[in-house]
Amino acid sequence: MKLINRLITPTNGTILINEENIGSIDPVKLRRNIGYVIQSIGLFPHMTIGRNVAVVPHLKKWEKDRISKRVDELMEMVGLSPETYRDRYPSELSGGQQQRIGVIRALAADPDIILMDEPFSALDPISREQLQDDVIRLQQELHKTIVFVTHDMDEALKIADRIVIMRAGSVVQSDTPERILRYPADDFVRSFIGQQRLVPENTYDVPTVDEVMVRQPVTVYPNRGLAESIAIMERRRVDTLFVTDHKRNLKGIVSIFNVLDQYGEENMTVGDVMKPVLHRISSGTPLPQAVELLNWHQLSNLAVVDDKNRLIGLITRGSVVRHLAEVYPTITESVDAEQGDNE
Amino acid sequence: MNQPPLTFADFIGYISRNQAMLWEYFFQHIVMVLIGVGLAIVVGIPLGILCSRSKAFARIILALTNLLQVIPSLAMLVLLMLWLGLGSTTVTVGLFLYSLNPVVRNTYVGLTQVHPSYVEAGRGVGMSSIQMLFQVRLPLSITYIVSGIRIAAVIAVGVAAIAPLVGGEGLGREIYAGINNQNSLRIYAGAIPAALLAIIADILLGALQRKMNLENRRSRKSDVVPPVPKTQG
Repeated sequence: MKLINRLITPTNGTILINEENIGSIDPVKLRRNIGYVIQSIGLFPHMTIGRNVAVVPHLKKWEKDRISKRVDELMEMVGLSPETYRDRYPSELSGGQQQRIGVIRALAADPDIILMDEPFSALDPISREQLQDDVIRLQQELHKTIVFVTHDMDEALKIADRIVIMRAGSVVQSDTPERILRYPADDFVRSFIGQQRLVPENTYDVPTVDEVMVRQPVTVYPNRGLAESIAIMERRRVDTLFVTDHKRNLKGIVSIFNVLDQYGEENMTVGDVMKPVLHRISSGTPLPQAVELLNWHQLSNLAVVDDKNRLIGLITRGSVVRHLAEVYPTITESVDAEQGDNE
Repeated sequence: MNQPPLTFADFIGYISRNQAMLWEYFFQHIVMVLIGVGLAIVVGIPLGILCSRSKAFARIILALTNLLQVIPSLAMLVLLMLWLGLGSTTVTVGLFLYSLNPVVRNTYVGLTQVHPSYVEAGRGVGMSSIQMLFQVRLPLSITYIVSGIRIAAVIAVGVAAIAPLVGGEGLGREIYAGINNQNSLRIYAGAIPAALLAIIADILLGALQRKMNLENRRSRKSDVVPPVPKTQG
C-alpha cells in the first residue's frame, strides 16, 4: 500500500500505474493524485472538518469556490450535512463520522486510485457496516480503483471485486471472491476463509439417509396388546409404531387408526392389526431418493433398514427439514457473499 | 537593619511617592524580558525544528543549550559583561541565552510527539515537508512551544532582577538600592512587583497554552455531544 504512494520505496521491482513507472513520478505529486485513507486518526485535529476534506484541493491550489462546492458535495454524499459539520473539529464527531470524513477526504481531488489501509478496523460493527456500504455505493457511483487492505475476510468478501491474499509479504492467491471461496489455493487460504464460508467441493455433499434419519424409532413387539400400543404411542407422542421382533427385524407397521378400528377386541395383538411395510429404504441410500419416495407415495415416514432387514432408523418430513436447517445456514452465507459481490 | 518595624501603610506611602520611578523600573524589566525571550523564540523555534530533523544535531544543540542553562545566572551575566561591557545589552543577551533551552527543547519535544498517524496522513495526501511543518507539525506542537516560552519567561523575570549588577535596568535596581541603603521598604518595592510579574507571566502564558491545545480543538458554537451518526441506506 505504502509502496503505491511511495511512502516506501521498493527494494526491487517497479510499480506501474497506467503503464507509467511511479518511481519516476514526483512522490508529492503522485500522492496528491492518489486518495489515502488510513486506519485510525487520519483527520487533522486542528483543522475543521471542511478544511480536512479540502486538504488535497488546497494543496493542488484549487479556487476557493470550487473547493467549498466540492466539500459540500462530498459531505452530502456520505450523509453529513455541511451546515452542521463543516465548521466543527474532528474531536466533535463520532468515530464512524470521522472515518466517513476520512473517506471523502481521499475522494476530494477526484483521484483515480484510492488506497484504504484497514480503514474501518477501529470502528464498532454497526459503523463499520455502514461505511462498507458507503464504500460500495461510492465505488459504484464514481468508478474508482480502490485498493483496500483488511484482515476481516467478511469485509473483503463484501466489498471486493478481486481479493489478493497475502502471507508474510508474498501473494498466496489472487482471484475473485467467488473463486477464492470455491478453490482456495492452500490450507492458509482455507483457514483464513474459515471452514464455514468455504463452499464444499462439488458444491455440497449429498447426504445419505443415515445422516438424516431419526435413530431409534419407536417400536413394538407383535405380541403386545392394543391398549398397550396406544399407551406407548401416547407416551412417545407418535401416531405410528414399527413392529419388530426381538432382533429388530422389521415385521410391519401399525398406526393409531389400525389400532382404534379393532380396539374392542381385547384378545387381538399388534401382530394381528399391523400392516406390511410397503416402502423401506436401505442404509446408505442418498437422501434425495428417500425424499422422492416420501413425496411420491405421500408417506409420513419411511423406515431405514440395514442389509438384514433390521430397522435402524426412520426418515420423516420433520427429520429432513431439521437436517436442511443444519446445513442451510452455511450455504446461505456463501450465497450472500457472492451476491454481495455482484451487487 | 535596625529600624522600627514597618507597617503596610509605610509601604503604600513609599510606593505612591516613588510611583514614576517604580513604573519606569517595571517597564524596563518587562522590556528586557520581552526582548530576551523574543530573541529566544526567534532563534529557538527554528533550532528546535532543525533538532527534530536530525538526531545528531538535536543532541549537540540540546547539550549546548542545557549547558547555558546550568551556568549560574550571576556567573553568566558577569562573563557576558566581560565581553559586552556594562549595560542592558549584556542583560538582554543573558536572558536570551537563558531562555533558549526551554524554547528549543519544547519545540523539539513538541514536534517529535506529533502522532505518527497525522504525519502519515499528511504525507499520504501529498504535503511537501514545508507544508507538513506549517500545516501539521507546528500547529500540533504549539502547546509544547507555548509551554516552553512560559518557562523561559518566568525564569527570565527572575534572572532580570540581578541585571543591575552588570549595569542593567529594571526592578533589580530598587532591590539593590534597598540592600545598599539597608532600606527594606525599597527591597519590597522592587521584589514584590518582580514576583507579581513572574506570576502574571505564568498565568497568562498558561491560559494561552490551554487555549492553543489544538489537538482537542472544538468549535465554539457546539458544546453538545457529537450527534449519533445518521443511518443511511
